[in-house]
Formats: sequence, C-alpha cells, structure tokens
Amino acid sequence: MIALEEKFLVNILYRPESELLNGVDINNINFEKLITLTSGHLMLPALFFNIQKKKASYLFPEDFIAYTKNIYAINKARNEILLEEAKELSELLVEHNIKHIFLKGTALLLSNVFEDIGERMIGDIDFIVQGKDEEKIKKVLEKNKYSSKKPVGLLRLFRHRHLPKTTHKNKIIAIEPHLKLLNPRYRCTFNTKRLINYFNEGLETIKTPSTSFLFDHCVYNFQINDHGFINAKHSHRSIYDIYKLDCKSSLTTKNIKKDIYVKHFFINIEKFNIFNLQLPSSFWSIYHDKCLRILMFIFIKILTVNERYSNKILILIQLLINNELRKRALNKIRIHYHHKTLLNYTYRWLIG
Amino acid sequence: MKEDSKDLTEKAPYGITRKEALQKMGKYAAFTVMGTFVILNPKKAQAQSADPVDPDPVLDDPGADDPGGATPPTPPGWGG
Repeated sequence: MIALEEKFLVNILYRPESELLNGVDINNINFEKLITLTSGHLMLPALFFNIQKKKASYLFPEDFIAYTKNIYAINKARNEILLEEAKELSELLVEHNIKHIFLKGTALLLSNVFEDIGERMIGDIDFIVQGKDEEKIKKVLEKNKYSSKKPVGLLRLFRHRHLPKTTHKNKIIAIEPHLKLLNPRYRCTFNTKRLINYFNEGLETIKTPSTSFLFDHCVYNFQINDHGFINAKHSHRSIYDIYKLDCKSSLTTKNIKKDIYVKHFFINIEKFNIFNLQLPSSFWSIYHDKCLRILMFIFIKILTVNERYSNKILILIQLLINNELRKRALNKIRIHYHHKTLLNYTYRWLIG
Repeated sequence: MKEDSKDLTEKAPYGITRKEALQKMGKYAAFTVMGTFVILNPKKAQAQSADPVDPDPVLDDPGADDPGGATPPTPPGWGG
C-alpha cells in the first residue's frame, strides 16, 4: 500500500507532465506529510526542481513553493561550493601524486548526471584512494590543516572502509577519504576490478567512474552500507540517482537479476513502476527470494557478531600491550565517571 | 502549557525567539526531517559524525558506524 503523498511524490519526480495526477486526488494530499516524507528522503530540492520543470506549481500552496524554493536555493549554493572545494582537493592530491576517484553524490555532480546542480543533497565529498596511499594521504591532509575529531583505531583485522570524516577550518564541506567501497564482510559481493582499472589509467584531477560503475555503487551502497537490504526499505535519493544515470546497459532484466542485492533493490521499488522491469512474480520465485533473504540475513548476522567480538578482543590485547592506549582508555573512564554515565556507556559499548 | 509558552517566548542570546524563528522559516519547517537541516547547515554536517566532547581513539571505529561511541548512530544515508 503506497501512501497518497508518496504516489504524488513519485509522479512529480519520475513521470511526465501529463501524468502528474495519475492515481492521485489532489484535494486529499496532506502537504505537511508530503514535506516530512520528501525531507526524510533528502529530496526537497529535487521536488522543487521538478515542480518548476513540469510547471506544476499550481497544484501546491504558495507557502509550500516558497519554502521548497528556499531549501533548493540554499542547497544549490552549497553544491557550488562543494564543486569548488572538490576541485581544490583534487589539485592538492595530484600535486602529491595520490591517485583518487570521486564517489557517490560528488561523482554524480561532477559527471553532470543532473540537469541542475541544486537537485541533489550531498553531505560530504567522498573519494577513494588506493590502500597503499593510506599513510600518504593522512600526512598530506594533516600538513594542509585538515583535521578529524575521530582518530582511526590502531589495530584492525581489516582495512577501514573510510578514514574519519575530515574538515578544514576555512572550508565548508567535510571530506571522507575511502580506502574500500564496502565494509569488510561484504567485500566479496562487489567486484572492484573496474575500480583498479580506473586507478591504472593514470593521475588526473576530477576523476569519476563510468556511469555503469556509479549505478552499481549506488545500489550496493544503499543496500549494504545504508542497510537497505536487511531492512527491505527504499530511498528516493538512490532511486532518483539511478533514474538520472539513465544507464541502459545496467537497467536490463539480466543485470538486475545478477545478484540478490541488486534484485531486491528493484523488487522493493517495483510497486512505484518507475523502470518497467520484468521481475519474478510467480509464487515459487517469491518464496525462493524470501528464503534466500532469510539465509543471507542469518549469515550476515553471524559475520557481524564474529567481527564485533574479534574487534573487542583486539582492543583488549591492545590495552594490555600499549601503555599510551591504556592511559587514554583510563582517561575515558575518568570522564564518563565524572559525568555519571560510565555504567550506561560501558553497557552500550558491551552490547555494541 | 505554561512552560511551553515560556519556552516559545524566551529570548535566545542572539535575540530571536523560537516563535519568531518558526514564523520566519514558515510552518513547513516544523514538518521537515532534521537530516535536511543537518546537511544544509555545514557546521552541523561537519560535526555529525564526530564526538566534540570526548573523541575516543580506543573504542570508536570510523568505518563501522560508531559502534562504541557515546553519540547515537547517524541515520543511514546522510552522507554523499
């Protein structure tokens, strides 16, 4: 069952001007609910852009249009700064011979995927560097006054997905240097061969992956890193990215059925009828998918618990052998004891 | 109720009441999910994954959605 407001949002975002009111009675739309729904998906700027593009402002109250226009304008100004800062960052990395590729929202914006720069809401500048450059990039960023409030743990079983979010006091947008695309337990699912090929192509500024790579990363990032697969949910920001990528080679039934993550991404959004794909609808295929999903869920849970306890054991070993770390841990306990939150904190840490 | 109305009229240090702020932003601001403002406000967006009071190198893991941090986890999908 799709809420009326969501039906209307889907029509505005993905359908032509003549189909905006398909299955929707405009008198029954609750515009406050529409704002909550759209902002929850970080889609207010895209909504305003599409209202203007499809000349649909007569369907909305005046203050609704004024409000979304404000949000769109602020977002557009912010994205202009983001592009400038991404270019500056890229030049800095090239100067120090660090090969890098922009990812996610920044890559989409740099690849001109969107008709308008203000459509997409972006939190930070994501980019990936090679594992061998981890120490180098840390030094370059530190030397150039980028700082993070959250240092990296000293000892880990696997390489981190990304370094801590880093900021510069004279810059607006935070940056997030990635070392891997996905968390360790999922790394076997996404083939990164293409990414290695991009790194082999040579050093250049403002490098972005191909649209088919962006398509795959968008799906896997939402399904895995944002827990879309486990929670069987959808995100209009990811759907809109894919819609705008217009990647015909990736939007084939064969490609969509290639693995459970991609398939379930499209099964979850099939009800909106955006991409016109022929997905399995027989009883057995649905039953098979559900069983597979439960098995995957159990498998991922086991891996998660396993990884969590391995990390805790590693921390304990570190505390035994590293004096400096032990001092910092004791300091932590002292602060929390002072704020009378030690028990609560310890409990939360233990249940992880 | 009394506390609420006091809350709305209480002057903030920078000279604007919450009621005035809400009026200025329009009624839809109250229905907007916080994530939108966090992204649009750069300083908040920068701080969203950091613990400003007590950064913890021992227990926090930057690549694993803050499993041991003192701050509540960031809702998924707020990044780039």
